[in-house]
This record gives sequence, C-alpha cells and structure tokens, in this order.
Amino acid sequence: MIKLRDITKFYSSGFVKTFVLRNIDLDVREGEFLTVMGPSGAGKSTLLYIIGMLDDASEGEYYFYDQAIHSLNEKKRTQIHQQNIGFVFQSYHLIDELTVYENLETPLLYKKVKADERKSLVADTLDRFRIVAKKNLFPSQLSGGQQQLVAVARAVIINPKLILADEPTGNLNSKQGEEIMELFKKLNREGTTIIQVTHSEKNASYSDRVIHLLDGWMEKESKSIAGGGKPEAGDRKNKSMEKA
Amino acid sequence: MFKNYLKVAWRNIKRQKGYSFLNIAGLTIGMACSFLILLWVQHEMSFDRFHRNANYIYRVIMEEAQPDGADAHPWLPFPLGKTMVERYPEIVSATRTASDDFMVRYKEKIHSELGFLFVDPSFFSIFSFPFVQGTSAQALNDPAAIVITDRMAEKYFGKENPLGKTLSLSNRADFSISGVVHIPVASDFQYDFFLSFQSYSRFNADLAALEANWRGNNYPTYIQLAKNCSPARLEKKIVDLMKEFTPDRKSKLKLQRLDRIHLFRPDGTDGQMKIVRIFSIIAGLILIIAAINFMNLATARFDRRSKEVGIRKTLGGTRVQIARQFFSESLLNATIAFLGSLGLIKVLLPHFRELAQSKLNPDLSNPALLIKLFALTLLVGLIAGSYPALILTKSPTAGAIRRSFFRARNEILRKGLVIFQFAISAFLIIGTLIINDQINFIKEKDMGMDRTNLVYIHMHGDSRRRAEMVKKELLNSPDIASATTCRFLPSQIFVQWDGLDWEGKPKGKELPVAFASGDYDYIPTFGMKMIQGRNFSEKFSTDGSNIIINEEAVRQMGIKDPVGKTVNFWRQKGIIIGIVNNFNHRPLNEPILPLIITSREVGGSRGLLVVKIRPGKFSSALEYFKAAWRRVNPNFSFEHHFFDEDFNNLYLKDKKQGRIFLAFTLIAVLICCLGLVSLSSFMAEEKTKEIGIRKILGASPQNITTLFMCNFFKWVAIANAIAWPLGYYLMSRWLQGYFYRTLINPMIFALTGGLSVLFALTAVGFQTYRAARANPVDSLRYE
Repeated sequence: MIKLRDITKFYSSGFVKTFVLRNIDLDVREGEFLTVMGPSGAGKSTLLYIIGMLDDASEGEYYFYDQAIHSLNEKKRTQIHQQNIGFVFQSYHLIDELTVYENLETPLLYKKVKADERKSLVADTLDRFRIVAKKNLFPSQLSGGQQQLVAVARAVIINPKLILADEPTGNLNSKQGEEIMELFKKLNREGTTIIQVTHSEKNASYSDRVIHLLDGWMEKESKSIAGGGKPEAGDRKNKSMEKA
Repeated sequence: MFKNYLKVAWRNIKRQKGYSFLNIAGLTIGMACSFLILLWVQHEMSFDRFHRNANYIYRVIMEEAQPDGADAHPWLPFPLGKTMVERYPEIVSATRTASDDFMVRYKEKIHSELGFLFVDPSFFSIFSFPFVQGTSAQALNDPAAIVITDRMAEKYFGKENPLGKTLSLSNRADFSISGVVHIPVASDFQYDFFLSFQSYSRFNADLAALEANWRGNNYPTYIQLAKNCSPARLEKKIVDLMKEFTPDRKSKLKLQRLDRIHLFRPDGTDGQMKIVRIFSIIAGLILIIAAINFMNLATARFDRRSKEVGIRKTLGGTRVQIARQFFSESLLNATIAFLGSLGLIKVLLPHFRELAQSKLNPDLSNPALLIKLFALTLLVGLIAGSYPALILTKSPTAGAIRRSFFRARNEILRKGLVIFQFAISAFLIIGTLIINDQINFIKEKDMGMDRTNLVYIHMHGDSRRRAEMVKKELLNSPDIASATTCRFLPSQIFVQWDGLDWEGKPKGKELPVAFASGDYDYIPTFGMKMIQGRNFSEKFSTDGSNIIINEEAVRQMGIKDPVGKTVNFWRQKGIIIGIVNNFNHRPLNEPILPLIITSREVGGSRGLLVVKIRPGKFSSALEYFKAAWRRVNPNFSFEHHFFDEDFNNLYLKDKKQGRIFLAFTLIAVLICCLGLVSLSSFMAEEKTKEIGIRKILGASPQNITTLFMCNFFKWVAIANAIAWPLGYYLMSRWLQGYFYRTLINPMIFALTGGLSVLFALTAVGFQTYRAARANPVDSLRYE
C-alpha cells in the first residue's frame, strides 16, 4: 500500500542543512498496524506528515497504491488524501468554532458529499461512537478523552483506508488512552491500515510492527511484543477494502 | 458549503467580540466617510447633466490677449449670440443671459431679490428645466411674462395658483407669471426669476442700441449645436469672429461644454475639479486606512488561524476551499460594515451637508446606487481578505500546524502597513494645521480698511435717486457715524483691462484697472487712508470729474508727483486729487491692482447704501436706519446685510474646505487608532512569552512597557519622516493658490510629530502596560 524509497527531508537555512529524515525505506501493507517510535526530534511526525501528503520529502520516492505521490501536483495529492487518509493528533485539533456535529461534517464538505448522504453519514458515525448526545456541543465543552473520541470519529467518517495518528493518547489519562487504543485496534481489525507515532511501549504493543527512528535514521524493525496478529480476511467488513 | 463558510465566519466574529467590534467599527466609519465623499463627488460631477441636450450645449468663451497671458472669460458682447445663430447653421439656437436684482412686490409682500436672470426666449428649449406649471416652449414669448421657481411660488403665493398673477419689479414694471419651474440642486442656474431680454425696454433700456454694441462684455452666452455637428470644426470657424467687430482687440472665441462649466474654469484649468480631486483622494485614503486595519488584524491573527488552516488541510480541504472561507469571512465583515455605514451615512448626512454647505441629498434606497456602493464594499472585502486567503493557505500544512511559521514575514508587512497609516494621518494633520493657519492669516490680515460696524442695503429702482435724502436723515442720528453710496463693496471691485490713458504712458502698455464708484463719504466710511492729497469734497465743484487713485496705480503708471496730473479713463478726463492706501479690493487670492475711485454718478448706478454705526449702538442705529429708509421710500423693501459677514463669506469656501479637511483628518486618525488598539493587544498576546521571560530575568513592568512603546515610536518616527516632506510639498502647492499666504510654520511639523506620538501612546499604552504586568508564570504555561 505504501512504499517509501530513500526518503530524505532537510531544512536549509543559509548554508546549513538540518536533516530531519535520512534515506528512509519503508513498506506498509494494507491492513497493517504500524508503530513509529523514537525520541523527540527523531523525525517521527515529519515522516507521518509526508506519508499523509501534508509535507513534501526533499528527496526520494513515495508510492501510494502504486501512485507516484512525489510527482503529483498539490491538487491531485489533496484528492488522494481526501479519499483515503484520516488524521488523529495528540492535541485533538478539533476546530474550536464548530460543534461536534459540524466538526464531523467538515471533511465530508471538503469531499463534496451530497447533503442527505452527509447527514446520514454523520448520524451513523455519532451513533457508532456513542456521542449523539454531544453533537451540539463545542470542543471546549468536552473532556480531553471525549475530544479525542470526536477526533477519531472525524478521521473515520470519510471511511479512510489509512489512519495516521500522532501520539493520539499523549494528552489523555491512562483509562481514556486505553479506550482510544482499543478503538484503533477495532478499526484495524475491520480493515483500516493504521500508522501511529508514540513514545509509549504500551501503545506500541497494540500494533503488528514497530520501527524506530533516531536522528532521522531508521534504526531497526521489530515485531510488536504483544502482537495483535494479522487481521483475518473474514474480519474485513469494509466494502471498499474488499476489492482492493 | 457556502453556508458553512458563513457560519464559521459569524462564529469567529462572535468569539472575538472586542476585536470584531473594533475591526468592523473602523471599517464602518471609514466606509461611511468615503461613501459620503464619493456621493458628494458624484453630485459635483452631475451638475447640469440632466438636460436632454446636455451633450450639445456649449458656453461661448472669450480669450483676450493680455500682457501676462490670455484671460479667458465667459463675458460676451450682447449681439454675439444672435449673430452666431444667423451665421452658422450648425448652431440650432442660442441664449444670452444677464443676472440682475430687483425688489419684488406682490400685494403687501415686498422683498429684495437677487436671483433674476434675463434670457432669450429660447432658454427654456435649450435647457430642459422641468416646469411645474405652464409650458416651457412659450413661457417667455411675451415680453411682459416672467417665469418663477417653485420656491418663489411658495414664498409669494403659498397655496394660491401663481399662474397669471402679477409681480411688480422695483415699482417700475409689472410682469405676469407664465410658468413655474423647478431648478434642480445639481444645476449652476440657481436663479429664481426668469425674464426675456425683450422686456429690457420696459426698464427704459435701449435694446436696439444694445444689439449693436460689440464693446460691452457682459453677457454669458450658451449655444445648442445640431446633433451631427462637430464642435471642434465649429470652434475653428468662430475663433476669429470677433476681429470683424472689434479689430483693435485681440480676442478669440472658444467653446466650453455644459458639463464642464461647474468643474473647470473658462480657460479649461481645474476649478472646482481641484477640490473634487483632493476629496476623492481623501476618500481613497480613508478607505485604505480602514482596509489596512482589517488586513493588519487578519495578519495578527495568523498564528491562531494558521493552526485552523492546518487542521482543515488534514481534513482534506483544498487550497481553494480554504481560501474561499477566508474570503467569505472578510466579505461578511465588509458586508456588516456596509450595512452599518448606510445607517451612519443617514446620521452624518445633515452634518456633512452643513459642513460642506452642499445641497447633497442622495437617495439611499436607489438600487443602482446601492449596488455601486456594495460593489465597492465587496472590493474592499476582497482586498482585505486576499492576504490571509492567499498567503496562509499556501503554507505547507505541517509548518502551519506547528505555529509561528510566518512571524517574521508578517511583522515586516504589518510594520509597513502601520507606518503607511501613520504617514497618511500625519500628512492629514499637517494639511489641517496649514489650512487653519492660512484661514486665520486671511482673517487677521490688514485689508487696508475697516470692515467693522458696517451695514448696507441694496437700493432698487428710483429709490436710488433718493439716496441723498436718506443719507441726510441718517446723519441726524448720533448713533450713525457716516454713510455712503457706492456701486461695489470695496472688497469685490472688478478689474478691467483697458480704457486708462495718462501722460507719458508707454505705447502698447495696458494696465489692469479696478474702477470704484462711490460718493464723497466713500473713503472715510470704509476707513481707508489718504496717503497724499485730499478726499473728494463739496467745496470743490470739479470733484464730480476728479479722481483718486491708489498707491499701486502710482507705482504701475510710473507718474512722479501724481497729484494734479490728468488721466483719461473711459473717454473722460479726470484730475488726480489724492492717493489712497492700497486696500484689498479683491479676494486675497488675487493681488492688489491699480485702482481708480470716481465720484461721478452715471444714471443711478450706485445700488448700495452703506452705513457706519458707532460702536455699541448697533440695534438703535439699525432701527433708525430702517425708519429713515421707510420714511423716504415707503414702497421699497429694507433688507440689511453686514459687510463683515459678506467679507467672511468670500472665504467661506476655504473655511468649508478647512472644516471638511479637519473632520476627515479626525476620522482618519480615529480609524488608525482603533486599528492600533486591537493590533497592540494582539501583539501583546503574541509577545506574552517574551514578556514572561524578560520578567523572570528581572525586568519591571515599566521596563517592558518602555521597550514595547519604543517600537511603536520608531514606526511613528518613520511615518513622520515620510509625511513631513510630502506635506510640505503638497501644502506649498496649495498655498500657491493664494496671493497673500502664510509662511509654513516649522512648529506645525513638530506639533504633528507630537500629536502622532500622543495618539500612538493612547492607543497602545494601556494594552502594553497590562501585558507587562501579567504574571510571567501564567504566560509561560501557554507554551
């Protein structure tokens, strides 16, 4: 599904080049749950943004379902991104001015989904995440865990093939964190590919595979300790995944 | 989608009530003011354009060669209009005009009226003034007919039907009303009574002689061209027409189109157009200042908004979609400001009318007008929204989410915009101060005469012949110092270019000469001083033909020992008996020219009776004046005027401009300050971390306030450095329009600098101090 070759990212200021990522080669299979670990400043988030098509690599090649992302223009890329990728952040990044309902609706608006279809999708999602009662509240009226729940719901609503999560439990207490991780696990079992960045070994244990970054280098690859195992074909309920 | 944009925009406005208020209020005030000015400009540009034939009507202009260049004016010989129609088939018709004043009587109502216009009967077919009653075509065919305005119909007849009623003019001739006309506000023909020249004979004037007189230049003449005629070609044909009739004068004829008369001088240079241009620029500047506030606040909120942009991008928003959102936000703000400004215009309009002495009365419910103004609003909104919409959405998402990506670039832009605003404000302050100086200069300038305690009336008809009797009665009162009759007020004496001869006059030299006609008491009543020789006196029987000249005449004529010498003027001999001081006989934008005072009375030509009242005796003297006038002239009206007031009216236009300039300066500064208040609070917010760190390092609130204020002062200094030379240059050019002008006081610039600092301090100080006093721990916790 994802194929990174020789991905390098640097910022140049004056004569100095600061490398964030160096020669990353990475393959992610469809349906995988991958964890990226590493200390602060190792380049984890940058890698996630590049995979999410929000940032360009300075050098290297990126194939998403055999599409050469590195040679597409911004409009094309946004289209692929709109159809396929959902994001979850450490600090939730809900839009403060919008209610829960409207936050869920926004990606659909950008995707130009028709009004009645939009309504039913939002209603379904509210239902699925059991936040119907909160739909008219603003983010500031929710607890952190609830906000992150909405954020995940918002990421899932477009029915993405890939969810990118940047320290999704970083701002949550352990119980809330566990709930979110369980949710990810469930989504993964239903067929969604997930890549998460985390510091926490415990969170990493939910994934199939862990990679480590240090100073922009990819260090080693290891199987997750607790290992959720590969998703069974029978678990795939996602229609769009079936033809893939 | 659009609904969603608006929803978010509206919530953003609500969320930041204070900022939104300042932002929208600034824009509202700015838009209201510039719209008002634009409406006024539109009004000024619309003068006399409503006539059906407006595009084919021209005023004939005469250009006379003078030693110091050509003098272009609309004053033409009487026979010219008729001759032109006869000679050139492309001229459909022509009308000559002459303004006059009479005393009007209807039953017991008697008023002195200044707004009379003699015209040819074709006047109302050339110009299409709407008739309220009667028809325009035949209105003036009868020499005893008169057309009056609806205003006068109301004044004299109230609810009665004025058609067919008789008005008596100065007790000399009666006229029957044949029509009631409405003169729109946007017309330069602001007269109240229209008569045919055919009626001249009814005032004992010799019309036949007038039709043959090619030397008296007194009659503005308008012609209407055939629709297919080229005015340029006609101009070529008529240019030397005057040579046939007055070969000794070097005068040429030109054409000026009707729609240019209000805005341009007869020679084609800017007249009122200059003010229209200046005010258009001011309107633009105010709008720019307001729009800059808007942009500045938007950039100040970049940090906050860039995060939102980032999130929206991760949710799949394209650049265009997100840019659209920013545009809808600024358009929503602009639209709210637009609605507000319409309300504000309604409130401000009466004040503006008073301020500008304009009859401007725009119809704010006119959809065409509203659409125009709204289009302008959208333009402002688009421009103001363009920076955030285009720059912010272009950024790489990752950077935007991580905040403070734009700080450096924004700060340069923001500084530039604030400096620009301050420069405009400083320039407007300089302009206001200099205009004010000039107005005071004129007010206090020694005019060479005493304008105080002078009251005058217009005498009409044969009451002029009884002026001496009234004078004698007046001098019986202890409250009245003196009285005189004269033709013109000494502040407005017209200048002519020929007719003066003296011994030793160099060949070919012509002098401009002002002719003043007044009786023996003229000079003492107006407080002028004799420099040499004596005033007119009854003791000398020849004083009826003797003359007095001013110092400037002596200088320009170059006569030594002028007293006792003989000069010829208008084919009359006169001996110089005295020299009067140089008093300002023209408005102060014109120089003092050679002047001749004659006491010769030509057929009741002196229509003014001027009385000097002793100080403090005003009301009793005025009562006495009125009673004396009524005793001698029971059938004539008494309407008094004050010389001082009239004099001030001469400078009303300048004063008016000065006041408008002041008002708009205040508004520009206010908008500028509104912007600064909100900008500084944003900056204080942005710098909370820096302030926190500085405090932890031991800085006191005063230290920090000073530090941040210094920044603003630097901006103010740069802005002033830009505004001073610009203000000096432009205002020097403005002052060139005055012959007598104040020197530009260097203190004005110092004062401007001081005021700018004061405004900045007021706007910025409080926010900064509050930020400086905040607890550093709170602020550092943010990061």
